Amino acid sequence: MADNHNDRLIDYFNGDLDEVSSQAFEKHLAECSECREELEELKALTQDLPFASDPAEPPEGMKERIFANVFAETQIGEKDEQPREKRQEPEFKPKPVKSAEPTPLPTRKRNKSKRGMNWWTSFIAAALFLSLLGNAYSLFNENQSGGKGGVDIAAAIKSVELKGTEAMKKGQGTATLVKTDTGGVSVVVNAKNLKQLQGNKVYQVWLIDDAEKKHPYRAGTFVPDQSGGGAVSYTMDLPEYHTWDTIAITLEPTPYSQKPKGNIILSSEL
Amino acid sequence: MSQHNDAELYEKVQSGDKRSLELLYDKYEKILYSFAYRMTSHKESSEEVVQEVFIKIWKGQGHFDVSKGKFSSWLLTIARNTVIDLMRKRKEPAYELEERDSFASDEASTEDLVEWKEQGAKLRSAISTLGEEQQLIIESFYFKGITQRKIAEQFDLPLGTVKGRVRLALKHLRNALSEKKGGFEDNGR
Repeated sequence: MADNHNDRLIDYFNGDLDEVSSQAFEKHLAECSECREELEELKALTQDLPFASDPAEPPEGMKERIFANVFAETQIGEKDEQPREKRQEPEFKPKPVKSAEPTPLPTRKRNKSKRGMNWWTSFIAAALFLSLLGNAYSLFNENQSGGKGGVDIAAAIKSVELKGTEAMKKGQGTATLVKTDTGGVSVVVNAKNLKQLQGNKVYQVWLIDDAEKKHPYRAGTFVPDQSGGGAVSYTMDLPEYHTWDTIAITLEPTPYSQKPKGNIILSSEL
Repeated sequence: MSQHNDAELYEKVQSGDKRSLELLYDKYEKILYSFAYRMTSHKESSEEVVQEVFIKIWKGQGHFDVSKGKFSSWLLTIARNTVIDLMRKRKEPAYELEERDSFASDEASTEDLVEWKEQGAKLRSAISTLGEEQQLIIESFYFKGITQRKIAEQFDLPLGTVKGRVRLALKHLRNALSEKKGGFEDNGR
């Protein structure tokens, strides 16, 4: 028994165990002082190894890019537990979730990436979100153009159909701007017939104001499932209501593009 | 400058202070980037890692506990876990050498953290005194974070002996370091 667990120390340290094995090992750790000591020893022996790295010069503009992303990174799904109304406050800071132990991080969920989330779960999540919003009654009823896609869009400000461009002729989808119950605006995109992505590539949603074409607003990323469907809902962190002229979805090399680098694959006027 | 400050800054970040996050960033940007680069040999991935680390800090994912050690160690552990995570997500073969060679040319970069400056050269030279296999074991285990099974395959070892080999290599390294300067002083907190 103990031997079996002893064999897992290396993989535990490197976060190579799945969740079940990792929990089992932690349980074992609580009981086995030998393994605890070995783990502590491993930590102590490796603690200074990062300093063996040769100094490398960070690329130009890294700080600006990172800070823009750190503060902009607020996608629905990541913070379902967080009340959304706080988003409107300029100094809003999500409450720390102090559950995970600092080292090692045994369950490595990257909640930012939507990889693996299938079209239907995303769709249901978006639909649920919309129907919740529907409950908080909308001031924008007069603007709305009727339901689409069988989703209750009572709080929708606008819903448009996205058309595939030359780069992805078969692509299609819908984009809906919805008023949140706290006065903010979310954009919900559902798309299908998209090409599969590899590596770190993502589809990125942009909102474009013609007056500020060079600075499109990033409004969520997603990765399609195996059937080529994908969805994202993104709550905008803007001080006041903004009108947009165009919504476009591009294929980006990483989820961190601050400006569109890839081709537009879906778009519509707003 | 001191570790004491780091913990304070960290607490301020947890209550939403962007300025404190920036101070921590400025202090640790280079070591984090260099460490990530050491592990990935890839510039874009390294930037991504630094970003992930600061998103985690900003969102309060994983909590730093002063009583458990230095902030820098905690931060670098988060960075390492982030790299391993990223490399595992990427099914593509690691980038490896492609950039490392070209990188050597724009050198002239120096360590900016005190503890890095103090330990960097000593560590590198201590590592170089180890046998080739031990160096590679440390590389595979620590800097590549690969599984026990893969280490066993790579070095043609029985699975059950991997842990022992890793510990042995690390202990040799520690000994090599203490021979160099009669003990590793702890830089306090």
